[in-house]
Amino acid sequence: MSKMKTGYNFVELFKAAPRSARIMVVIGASLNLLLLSFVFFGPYMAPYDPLEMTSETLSAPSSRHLLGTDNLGRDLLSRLIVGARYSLGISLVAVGLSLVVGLLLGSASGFFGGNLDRILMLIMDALYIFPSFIYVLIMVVVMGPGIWQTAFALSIGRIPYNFRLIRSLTISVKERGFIEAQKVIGADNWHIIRHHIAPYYLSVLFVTVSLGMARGTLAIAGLGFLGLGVPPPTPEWGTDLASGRTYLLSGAWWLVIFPGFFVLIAMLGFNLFSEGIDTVMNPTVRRLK
Amino acid sequence: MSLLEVKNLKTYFFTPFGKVKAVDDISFTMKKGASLGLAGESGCGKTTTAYSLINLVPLPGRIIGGEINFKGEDILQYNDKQTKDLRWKEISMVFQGAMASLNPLFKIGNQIAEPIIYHEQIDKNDAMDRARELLELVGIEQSRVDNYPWELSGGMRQRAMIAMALACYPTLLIADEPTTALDVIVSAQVMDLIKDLRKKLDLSMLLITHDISVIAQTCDELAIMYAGKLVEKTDVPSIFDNPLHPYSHALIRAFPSIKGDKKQLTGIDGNPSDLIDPPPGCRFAPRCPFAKSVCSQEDPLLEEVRNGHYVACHRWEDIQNER
Amino acid sequence: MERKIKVSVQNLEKYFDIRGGFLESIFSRSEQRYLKAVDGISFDIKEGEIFGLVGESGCGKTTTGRLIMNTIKPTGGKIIFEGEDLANKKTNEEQKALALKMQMIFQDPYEYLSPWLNIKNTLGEPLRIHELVQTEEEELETITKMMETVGLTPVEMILPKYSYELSGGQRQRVLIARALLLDPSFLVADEPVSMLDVSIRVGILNLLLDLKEKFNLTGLFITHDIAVSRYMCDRIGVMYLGKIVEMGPAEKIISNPIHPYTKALITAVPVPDPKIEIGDIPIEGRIPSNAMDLPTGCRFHPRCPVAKEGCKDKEPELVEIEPDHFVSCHFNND
Repeated sequence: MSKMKTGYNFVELFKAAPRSARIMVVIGASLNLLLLSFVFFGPYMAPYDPLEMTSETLSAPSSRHLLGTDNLGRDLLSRLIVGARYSLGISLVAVGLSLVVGLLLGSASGFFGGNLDRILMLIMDALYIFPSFIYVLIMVVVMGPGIWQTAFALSIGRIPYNFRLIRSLTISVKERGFIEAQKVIGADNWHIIRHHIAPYYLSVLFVTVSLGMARGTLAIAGLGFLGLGVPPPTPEWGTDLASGRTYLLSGAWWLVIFPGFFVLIAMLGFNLFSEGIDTVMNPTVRRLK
Repeated sequence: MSLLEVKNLKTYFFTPFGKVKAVDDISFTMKKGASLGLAGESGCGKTTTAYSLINLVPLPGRIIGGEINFKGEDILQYNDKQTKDLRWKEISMVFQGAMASLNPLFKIGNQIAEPIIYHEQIDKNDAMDRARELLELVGIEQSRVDNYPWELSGGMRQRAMIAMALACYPTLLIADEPTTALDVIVSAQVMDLIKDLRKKLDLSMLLITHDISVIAQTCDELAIMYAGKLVEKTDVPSIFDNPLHPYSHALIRAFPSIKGDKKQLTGIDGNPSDLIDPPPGCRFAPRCPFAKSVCSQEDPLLEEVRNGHYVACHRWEDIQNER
Repeated sequence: MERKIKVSVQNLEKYFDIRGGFLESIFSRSEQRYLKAVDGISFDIKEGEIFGLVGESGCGKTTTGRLIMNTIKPTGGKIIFEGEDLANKKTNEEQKALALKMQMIFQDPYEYLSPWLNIKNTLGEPLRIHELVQTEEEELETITKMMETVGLTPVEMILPKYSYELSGGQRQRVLIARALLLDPSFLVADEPVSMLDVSIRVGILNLLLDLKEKFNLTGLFITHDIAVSRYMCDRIGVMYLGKIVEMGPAEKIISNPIHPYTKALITAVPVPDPKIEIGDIPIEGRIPSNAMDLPTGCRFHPRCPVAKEGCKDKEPELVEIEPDHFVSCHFNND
């Protein structure tokens, strides 16, 4: 039996989108890819060892240290590149985890309804009440700061949001006529979810992931700034930004500007991409064309 | 003098995909006291025509040509104030889908009284009295004047809309698909009501619908539109007896009837014409079983071929002879 | 020769529980409130005939269609399809197998087609779900033949399109093709032409009549348009507020209605002939907007021009007043 292919074609959709959207997608994707390459290949891309202390402390950007050095003589550029692993990487894990859980629970809740739905909604509403920071603080207090704890805590904060998004999408699609038609022609639930409801998820998934990454990165940098993030000497944008502040008045502007700049680039990349991809994938726009 | 004289009316919609020629040069007249049914299928331009008559064409539409002479004056030349005075006091409209046209937040009494207060500067109590009278006129108990739209059934909402349209005792009433969303029995009751009111208030009426059976039962004259053009217009008995335009003929034969012998119905092949890029010549030619080469070259003009009977077809005579 | 009975509906009931949500159902002491959408109807559809269910909105005809298709379950009564009780089809396999015997086409062809699949996949999907074809070529061949049968041509042009690129009439033909690809012997049509333009309707109605002959189908035709039911159906049942009030051959009922409701319905239908005038419609009032508070006794009595003393006390039975003509009315039966 031939495999059931959906007629869902990203290339067609992309070509049909307005120019502004396509530009945003391209720029956003490029920035994201650059940053992601830092996450995976950072150590190989960094010119120096981010932990290596030298005697050239607090030196301004030069040909040898493109972004300058910090108070312990460590190369800032290398720190920031490798730091992406933590600032972005943790966010990636958190988003991925919350997405998978939110997707599974949300689609089940929306599709099957009943008591399962009622119970899950109660749980999710309870989790939703607290800002995600609280979970992180609790995690930090209980288990101490660390990469996996932060990732886990952040993901818990995001699960209710993804859950609700997927659940309402499922509910609104579930009542549509073509779903009833599927049942009449004999499709089982799994088939229906996979081929007829899932495409709706795809159109919001890119956006959710992208925005989630943006928020996560900001959150981690924020935590680092507050001293609750990854412990020194691990390079991380937020922590570096915080320690850089101390030296600002001494004139070491690069210790604040550049970490902030990396955060900015990350935010820009994710937001541009999500805005552009939303226009590309949105079914309403597609139908107009 | 005719009450309404539409001359070469053109209303186009300017969309990103091109100019949609929704109403493309139509002309017709209505005498005072007449009831004209404007029939056609979706996309033929009948609703746009109705909205053009009260100058309420929604964007991106615009009336770009022609005259609409109402009581001798071209209302397309009116300024804002004159247009506002015209609406409701002279020409009013019952809209399609009463559910969506009534404001759910206000009581129906208030909604009926509103145009009265606006146009006639009488005080609220007098306006409400009139609203109560109007409700009774349309067959709704006066006590319901304080109800909200959701407290009324579909048929009652439609009646409330009619009451609202009659609030300032207009000369011409335009009814846009007044029965489409209603059940058969309610629909018949509403049409009965409209016929009754016409007599009582000496109303002239323009009835817009795709259902020619309704027109057969309630109107004196019938005009049929296709793809933005008027293809035939005459009095109702003549057109049902002997439709001259092939489209009219096909349309009438497409309605199953519960009376008389059970006839084989025939549809019309093909699809409605593209309004952005219509085919050259007669727009019905691609689907017309009688089309010859002249039909796809020249646009037929609407001509009076018999007393009061207008047709826009190159071959109407030949077709008559063939039948 | 007596034809076999394809579908037998016996005392079918569907009550919807319309109490409030979760908490109210636990804490509230109010009585059960039910919407009695279908309240005890019985009829048979013989093999090879088209049976029409006719009525205004809220009468229960659409719900009945879905009960027969097994997409919703009855709260009472039975549906016997080809001799078997549908309630016995409990497993997923059994229910899936039903799709090969009974199919349905719907009112809104746009809503009932998935926006994500092109026509080729839309039509191929049911074949793949039931593994009716082995190769892609076989699938394409089967689809192409069906498309030609229902008039979806030119085939190559339509296959790659999506539902929103087709006209209303074409979409409905896709729905019909999809239903027939599973080779059912029974087809339910729920208002298949009410959303189509008038000139297109006829094409679809004639197509359905042709296909019925060609594929030997038995049909249930649900509509509010009595004129269409005259054109399409052999026998019809007129429904009012969940009950069948009159049933029999379409021609007979339409030319000589007995039940007051049927009479009112027939009188109210506009006829495309100005020489025939609609008289006064023998009916009062309107359908109760609160369909949960049904009138006592005969549900039609508040609106009935000939209602008499006993009508509000007892519900009338469906009685065969002449061969194959059933009426449910005290006035006529007593």
